[in-house]
Amino acid sequence: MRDLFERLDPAARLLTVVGAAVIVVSTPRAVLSPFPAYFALCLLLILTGRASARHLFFRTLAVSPFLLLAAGLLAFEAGSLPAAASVAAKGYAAALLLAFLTGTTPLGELLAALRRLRSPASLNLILGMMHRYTDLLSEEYARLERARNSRTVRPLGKERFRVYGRQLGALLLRSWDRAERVHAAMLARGFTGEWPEPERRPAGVRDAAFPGLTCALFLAARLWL
Amino acid sequence: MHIADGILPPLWCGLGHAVSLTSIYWLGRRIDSGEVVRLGMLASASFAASLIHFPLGGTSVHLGLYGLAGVLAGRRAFPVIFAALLFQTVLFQHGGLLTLGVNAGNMGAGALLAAVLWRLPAGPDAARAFAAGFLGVLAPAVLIAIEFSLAGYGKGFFLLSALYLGAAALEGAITAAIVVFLRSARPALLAIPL
Repeated sequence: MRDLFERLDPAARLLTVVGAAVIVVSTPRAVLSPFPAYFALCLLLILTGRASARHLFFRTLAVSPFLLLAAGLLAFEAGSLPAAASVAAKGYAAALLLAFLTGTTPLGELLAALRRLRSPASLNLILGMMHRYTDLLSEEYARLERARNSRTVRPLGKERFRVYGRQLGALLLRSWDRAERVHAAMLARGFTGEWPEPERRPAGVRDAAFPGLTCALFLAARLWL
Repeated sequence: MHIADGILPPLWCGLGHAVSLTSIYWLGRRIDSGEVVRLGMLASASFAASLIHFPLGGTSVHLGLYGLAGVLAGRRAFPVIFAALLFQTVLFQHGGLLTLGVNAGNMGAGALLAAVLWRLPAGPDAARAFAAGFLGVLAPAVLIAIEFSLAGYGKGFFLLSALYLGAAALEGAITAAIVVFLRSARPALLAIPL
C-alpha cells in the first residue's frame, strides 16, 4: 500500500495530482466547507506513497510568501476574510499535492511523463539538457567563484557588478562551447531530434483507475460539501 | 514573482498554459536540433546562475536573467523561460504547476520585450543591455500587478512591484556587464536574429 503511488506510471501520477489540484482550486472563493475533506483526501493520497514528512512540510510552506501576500491583499483591500482564508487553503492544498508528486517522482520520471503526455519536442529536449547539465554548470560556476575568491585580496566594492558579469559571461561561453561539442557527439551517436525512450510497460487499468478515482473523490467533496 | 496555485482562477491557469504551449510551438517553428541543444545549455546556465545570490543593500537577491535570455536567444527565449520555470516549480516549489503557464507568460513577455529592445538599431550596447535586463524583471512584475488587480486582489501589488525596481536595476547592471564581456570575447553570440 505504501508504494502504490510509486508503482503507477509517472504520467498517471502527474494526472492524479493535476486533476485533484484543479478541482481544489476551482472551489468558489469564500467557500470553505469542502476544505476539511480536501485535506483528509490529501492525507489519504499521501499514505499511498513514500514521500517524507519533512519534504512535504517544507515544500508546502515554501509557497507561503506569495500565498500569504495574496491572502493579505484580499483581506485588507477587498475586506473579505473568508475569501482570504479560502485562497490560503487552496494554495496550501495545491502545494501539498505538488510536494507529494515531487516527493514520490524523481525529476527524470516527471520529464518522461511530460514526454508521454506529448509536450512539445523542443521543450522536451531543452528540459532533458537542463536535467543533465544544470548540476555540472553549477559546479563550474562554483569553481569560477572559488578561483576568484582565492585571488581577490580586497572587497570588490563598486567593481563587483562588472566582475560578476564577466564571470557569468565566462560561464555562458563555456556552456555554449560545451553545447557545440555535446551536439556533435549526439549526432555521431545517431541522434534524430528526440530523446530515445527506454522500454516502458504499457499503461494498465490501475494507471487509469487511480487518477479517475482520486479525482472523483475530490469532485464529490467539491460538489456535496 | 512566481504566482502560487490557488491565487488565480483555474480558467486563467488553463488559458496561461494554452498561450504558453501555443507560443512554444509557434516560436519554436523550424528550429534545428543544434539550436535546441544550445538553448538547452543556455537554459541550464541561466538556471545555474539564477541560484546564485548577490548581496544588495544588506540583503541578497537572485537573478532571473529573463532579459539576458531575450538578448541571447531572441524569440526562442520563451521555451527557455518555460523550461527554467518548470524546474524552479518542481525543484523548489517556486510557483505552482497550474500557474506555470501564467508565470511563463509573464516572464516570457519580459524576455521577448528585452529581445526586441536589444535589437533596436540605436544606442550603445551597455545601455540597451541594461534596458533589456531592467525591463525583463520589471515587465513581469507589472503584468502580475495587472493580473492581481483583474482577479479582485485590489491595486496593492502595483505598490509592491515598485519594490522590484532595485532588483530590476541590479539585473540591468549585471546584464550590461555580461553583454559588454561577450561583445569583446564572442560577438557572434550577440548577433542572433529575433
